[in-house]
Amino acid sequence: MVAVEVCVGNSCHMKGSKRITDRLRQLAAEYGLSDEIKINGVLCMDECMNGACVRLEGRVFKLSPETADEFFMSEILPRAGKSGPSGAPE
Amino acid sequence: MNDLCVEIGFVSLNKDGEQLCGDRVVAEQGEDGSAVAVLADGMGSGVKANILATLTAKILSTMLANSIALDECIATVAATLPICRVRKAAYSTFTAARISNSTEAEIIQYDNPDAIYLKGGKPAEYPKTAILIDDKTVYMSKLRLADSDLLVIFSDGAIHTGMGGLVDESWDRDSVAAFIASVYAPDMSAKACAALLLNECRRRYGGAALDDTTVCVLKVRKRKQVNLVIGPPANKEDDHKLMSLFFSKEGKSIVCGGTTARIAAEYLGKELKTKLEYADEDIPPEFELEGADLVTEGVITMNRVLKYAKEYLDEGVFSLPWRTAKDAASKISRLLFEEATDINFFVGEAVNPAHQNPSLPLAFRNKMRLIMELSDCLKKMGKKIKVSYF
Repeated sequence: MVAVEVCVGNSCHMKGSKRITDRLRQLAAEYGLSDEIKINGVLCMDECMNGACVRLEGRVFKLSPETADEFFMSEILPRAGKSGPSGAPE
Repeated sequence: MNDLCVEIGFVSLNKDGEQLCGDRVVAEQGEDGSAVAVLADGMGSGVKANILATLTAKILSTMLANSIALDECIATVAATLPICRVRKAAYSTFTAARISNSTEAEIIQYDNPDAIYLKGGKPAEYPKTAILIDDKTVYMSKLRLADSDLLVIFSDGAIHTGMGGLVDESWDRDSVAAFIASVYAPDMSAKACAALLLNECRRRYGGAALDDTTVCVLKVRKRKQVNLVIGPPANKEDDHKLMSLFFSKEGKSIVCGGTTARIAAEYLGKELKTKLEYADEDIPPEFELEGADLVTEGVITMNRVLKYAKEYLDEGVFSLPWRTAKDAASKISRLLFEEATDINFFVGEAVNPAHQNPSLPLAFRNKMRLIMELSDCLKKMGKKIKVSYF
């Protein structure tokens, strides 16, 4: 189980937390990992100044909708027990 | 005194191609449960009709609100209206409703379609007496209103609907009464009721009205308090004080802002749950907190509420998307515009450094102004507003 927490505070909202959430959920579904990867909303992490915050295993990452794919590949997917795009559907 | 109050809401649809409406509503409300609404329909359309209707509505409402005798009011209107060069007449029909103590109603009608009275959501008859003033037959009615009763007054455009220049004879005053009864809900606001009827008229006109059409609804309802807290206090030590004052108030509670929600959760000793479901792209999702009726993000959501409030006050706007939408801003709008008559704002003055970014809209950076603008709008809706700063 990989728990991903996306900040839904207004500053992160303005920086695209909804689009990031949508993209991460979509990728999880594409890899058949919707049950394995849990994406939840959380309150402000007090790191508003630096971009949309996503927390994974206690570490805060600064994302934008454009970097969501990269984040999924490099951080989420390996933790979900698959390595790299080899597990990708056709 | 009773715990009732009168809510007035009105909307207009201009005759197709006209910039100005030839109907005019002037409504005035007193602190003591008194209310006056006058709907005047000026002869013709466009600017001339607009002037006639505006003069009539304004003169009548001012004089009636000051308890001046009816014949004197009508004589003043007759003496004041400019005479049309084409028609050699000065003419505006009107319907006036005067309510005192939120229950004693007088309806004065001159040549508009008969006002509709709904008792408990059902159309009901009321007595009418004809009186002759200056060769004009005016109808007077007196009735006693109760909680949830409605008076619906409208210009003849509302019953002369039709498409392609043809009037649909099957749609008359009784159909209007039946329509209102079919959409009636006890918690619906006067404005929402007026808007629903006007939307139906517009539909029946196929979008292009043959005549100016105006609907004004007066609704008797119980006073209801709603409380809203937004923003953490300027001093952290005041957190507890703010929340204990806020949660001790009677009525529903709305908590706006992530940090504010966290403080509220600490105060209540309950867990704050976040949802990640978006009912609307642009509005952050709401939170769940036992003990609070609604918990939302702050400034983005409230900016949307302000936008809805401005639209609500525009008598030319009668689509009210927030009445049915599921996002947090729509939920706040329903509570503030429809459910509440008295609203207490608790505004924390702490400044969020993330909001001071010059790339953000100005309204975002100025929470105080946002709340001031919103409370001005709510006052115009007839709400009693109290704002406290912390």
